Amino acid sequence: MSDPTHTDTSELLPEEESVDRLLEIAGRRPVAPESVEEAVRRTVRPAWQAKARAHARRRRMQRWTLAAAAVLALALAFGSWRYLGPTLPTANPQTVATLELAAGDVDLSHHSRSLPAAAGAAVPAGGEITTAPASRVALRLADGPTIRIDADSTLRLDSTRSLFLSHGAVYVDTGSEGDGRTLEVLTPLGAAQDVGTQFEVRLLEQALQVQVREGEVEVRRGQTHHSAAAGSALTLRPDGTVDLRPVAAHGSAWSWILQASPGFELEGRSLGDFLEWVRRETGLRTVFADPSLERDVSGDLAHGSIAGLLPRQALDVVLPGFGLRFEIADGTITIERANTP
Amino acid sequence: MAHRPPARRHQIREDQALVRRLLAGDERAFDRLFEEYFGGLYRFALTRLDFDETLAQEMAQATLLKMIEKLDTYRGEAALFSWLCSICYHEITAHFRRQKRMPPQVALGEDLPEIRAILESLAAGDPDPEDGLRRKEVGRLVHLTLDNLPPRYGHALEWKYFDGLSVEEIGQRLGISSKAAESTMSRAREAFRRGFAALARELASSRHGLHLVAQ
Repeated sequence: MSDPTHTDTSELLPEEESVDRLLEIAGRRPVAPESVEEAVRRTVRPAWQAKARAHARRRRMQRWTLAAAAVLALALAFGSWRYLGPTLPTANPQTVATLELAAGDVDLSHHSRSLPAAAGAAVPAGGEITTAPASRVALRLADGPTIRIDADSTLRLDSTRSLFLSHGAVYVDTGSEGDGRTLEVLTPLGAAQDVGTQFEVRLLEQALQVQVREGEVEVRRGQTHHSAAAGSALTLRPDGTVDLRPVAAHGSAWSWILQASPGFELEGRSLGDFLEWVRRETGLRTVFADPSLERDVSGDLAHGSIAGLLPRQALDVVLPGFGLRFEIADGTITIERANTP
Repeated sequence: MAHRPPARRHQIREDQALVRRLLAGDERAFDRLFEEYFGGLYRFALTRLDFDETLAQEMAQATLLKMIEKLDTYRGEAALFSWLCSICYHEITAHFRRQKRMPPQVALGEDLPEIRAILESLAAGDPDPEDGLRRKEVGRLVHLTLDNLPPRYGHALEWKYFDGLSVEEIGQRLGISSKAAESTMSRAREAFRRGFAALARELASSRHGLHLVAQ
């Protein structure tokens, strides 16, 4: 056998036509069992989350150190110290939004002053929300629409109709009964404007991505306009090229939104309202197998709490109390009486 | 630093972006890490552990934990998958050292004349090798080659040849136009040809068959 270290690679180069046969001989690559992958994910995830938090803390410490050094330099230059009070001063005290959920490390800044924020905090016009890695926020704008901010993101709320996303991603839900007014999300790479929709705006490494769950969004960059309808994701690059691809209204493309959900106060609400909440949270259609059943039960009132439950888990808890059961298939939740054969 | 072809440079840029997003706590980056690399990592360990599934799972897990620990040291000197396999190789070696045992000696297709003969017979349009052992060796080499390609190349080739997807459908899955998908398929086939040849030579020249081709 010849010395392999001096083998000419070209002798081992398959012919173009042989590629098909080689793949056919080999067959598909064996897949790791799902249970194995799931078990490894469960073990690795906490370690990864801890690493990301430690990385973020180091970065914040570095930024704080630089900022502190700058303040010190200024103070030394002018010979005076500046006192930072316990509350955010607001030149314009108008509240444009209220935090409904703050999961993890969330800061609220206004006029260069920043404080940790918690649920219930009021956001003034011009206020800026920053989320750390693995942290998320849900807000309700003063005139109704809800906003969710993904991890490692920064969003400034200039008014109830104008937001500026400088980093990360934001999800907007203007409600199923919008008042027809538009809400605009501006970014360094373009702007997205809606009329009555659910959509996500995300800043990627070198592109702006807008994916639409319901309604329609117009995406602008300079003089160029593009439309993205429900069920599509539009990616706009700095060179002006655009990709448009389909995206399901439900599934993993939207899963982070569930983690930023402020939940649903079930006590005293109708079943119809609960199912509408499930629909809007999951992107799944809800249908009753029997239309008359929908008329019979939609107005019935629910009791109890589903705090801390995801919509899918809440269905398991709530529907049996109404003598109902459900099945999820092909993007649809089908509801019927529990004793249906 | 050795010259890298454009496709490899692009893959490394993508890997660096993935690592940045992992350090930022991006859940989708974590999902993508598993979607694109766990299968290949598991196969890498399995092949080198005489198909001991329990031990392969343990080594894959240890590799990912070690990678997470050193994540902020990744600088893009090699593709992320190559880095993962290097870590896995060291984990396997350390495991057997602790056990005071030798790792299994696994033949990974070091018989070059056999490989040459198979390629020649395929080029001549001869029927596929009936010898089960030769099919198995060629199969392992093909799978190793696919695992070492940029993930979207490996996926695109499998979607076309095993799932029968059209170029348009492949484009939709990759989030690109049909024209771009056609170009990707062409690049994937060429990358496969060159990767197969390089891997066959490298495996033949390695002593224990445990080393990975550094790309």
